[in-house]
Amino acid sequence: MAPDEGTLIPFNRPHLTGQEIDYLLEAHASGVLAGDGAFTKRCNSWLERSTGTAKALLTHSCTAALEMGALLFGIQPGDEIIMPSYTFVSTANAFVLRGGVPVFVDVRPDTLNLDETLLEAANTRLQWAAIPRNLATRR
Amino acid sequence: MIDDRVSLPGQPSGQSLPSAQTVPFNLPHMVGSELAYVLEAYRAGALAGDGSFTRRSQILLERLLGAARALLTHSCTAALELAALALRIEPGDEIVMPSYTFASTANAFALRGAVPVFVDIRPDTLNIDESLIENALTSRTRAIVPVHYAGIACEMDDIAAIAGQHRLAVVEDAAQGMLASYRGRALGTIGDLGCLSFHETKNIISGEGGALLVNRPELVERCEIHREKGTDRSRFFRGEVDKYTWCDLGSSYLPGEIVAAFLLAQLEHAQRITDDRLASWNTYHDGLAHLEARGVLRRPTVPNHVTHNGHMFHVRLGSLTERDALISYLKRHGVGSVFHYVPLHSSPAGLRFGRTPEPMHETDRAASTLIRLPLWVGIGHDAHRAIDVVTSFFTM
Repeated sequence: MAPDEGTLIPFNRPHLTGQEIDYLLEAHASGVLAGDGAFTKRCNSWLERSTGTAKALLTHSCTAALEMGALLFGIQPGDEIIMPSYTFVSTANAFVLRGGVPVFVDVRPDTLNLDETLLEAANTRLQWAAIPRNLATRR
Repeated sequence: MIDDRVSLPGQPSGQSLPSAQTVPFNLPHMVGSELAYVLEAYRAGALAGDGSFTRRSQILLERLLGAARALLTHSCTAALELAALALRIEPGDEIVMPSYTFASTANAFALRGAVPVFVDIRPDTLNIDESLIENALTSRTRAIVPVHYAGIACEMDDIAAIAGQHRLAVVEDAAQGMLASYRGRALGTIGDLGCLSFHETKNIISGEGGALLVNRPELVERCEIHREKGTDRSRFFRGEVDKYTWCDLGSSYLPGEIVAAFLLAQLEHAQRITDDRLASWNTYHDGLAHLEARGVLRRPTVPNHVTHNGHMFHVRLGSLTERDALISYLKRHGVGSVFHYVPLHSSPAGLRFGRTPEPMHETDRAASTLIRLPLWVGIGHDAHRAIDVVTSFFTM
């Protein structure tokens, strides 16, 4: 059956668990509002437990996390970074901000992820890192 | 460097000082309506940045300050970085700034490959000494970054004159300058760009938060693009382009709506908060006048043509030893106090990225002799207690 005329299924609707406001209240009541307080620590721990990563550090965006990655690897002007072109601008910007050159590689027809078979050919003299992109991660 | 929430039990040793609880150095002030707005943002389900709370906060900021254009950022650090991008700062460019400031003033430009050139401060306001700026200029100088320490304005007319003569940009680091002014103009609205902070230690807060004030219309679109990850998303929403795409360098500098909602509540009470702090600041200023008259300490200087915002009350002592003794004494008597900046010019990163052409005597002196006393909305009688403890230190 076709949907009724005029009813639009929203493309996205952020899901709220109901618990968020209680936690916000708790942070507000404690008067600790700047970063790296108790809630940040709890989120970091949760992420470490659930992903198995050695250390999780909350950032204010995935853009910021990518920029930190570029700083941590000491990306220098002229360094080349292999990545897909089918991605959000922050993947590239984070490295261009350090003077790096994004080297764009095509995606696989099935997963639409970076085609790993094309990496060798793209491996140029200055290439630093290859960034796979998980399409399930949205910004 | 600082624990703003020192909470040791006060232990007055037999003197007539009121004991009871510790006077914390800082206590974030809640106006009461923050959660209602946060709840509204939550219920609307629009949680990413640049929603209605961001727009309302920006409009209110523009009105409060007389700013041409305000763009919320997630921190003053972000606003400074945005300024460095908007001014097209290149590797090797030199940026003149004080060393007596927070690391972000320098980092924002060092991230673009620029060289912070550190200049000493004035002994009275502890702001960049405008008479030393011209000596620090070279053919590579691109900008001057005056930092309005303690919400007390730098000498902006002199700085603007130097900038005009040498074709330099002026980026005001007004992290502490919310609602303070210079000759009637709000801090942050005088230079080409101005940066504000809403960190929880500031007058108006949103936890972490900030804003960029864009005072030159031709820079607005560029700032919007850098702020929106280098995309022309703002033009897309205005219907000026039919899809948005990667146009330039950029980052994600905008705060989410939960933070913007919190900020709007605070901005609606900005003047009351400022007035309350000014009253407590005046209590300190009056209450410690007799100690300045005796020559044992120095209170802040506010030039006549400047209106400050009661952000900070500090005193300066004769030496580092005496300063540290007073901090310990205050702590023993239940009063939280902290020193301030570790100068950038002699820090590891300052030595690596910066340049310091002249001696920095006043900077080093301020760093080793200054104490900040507790100052927050509703401090009331506790300010008198802090004054009593400081007074008793000098009459022991």
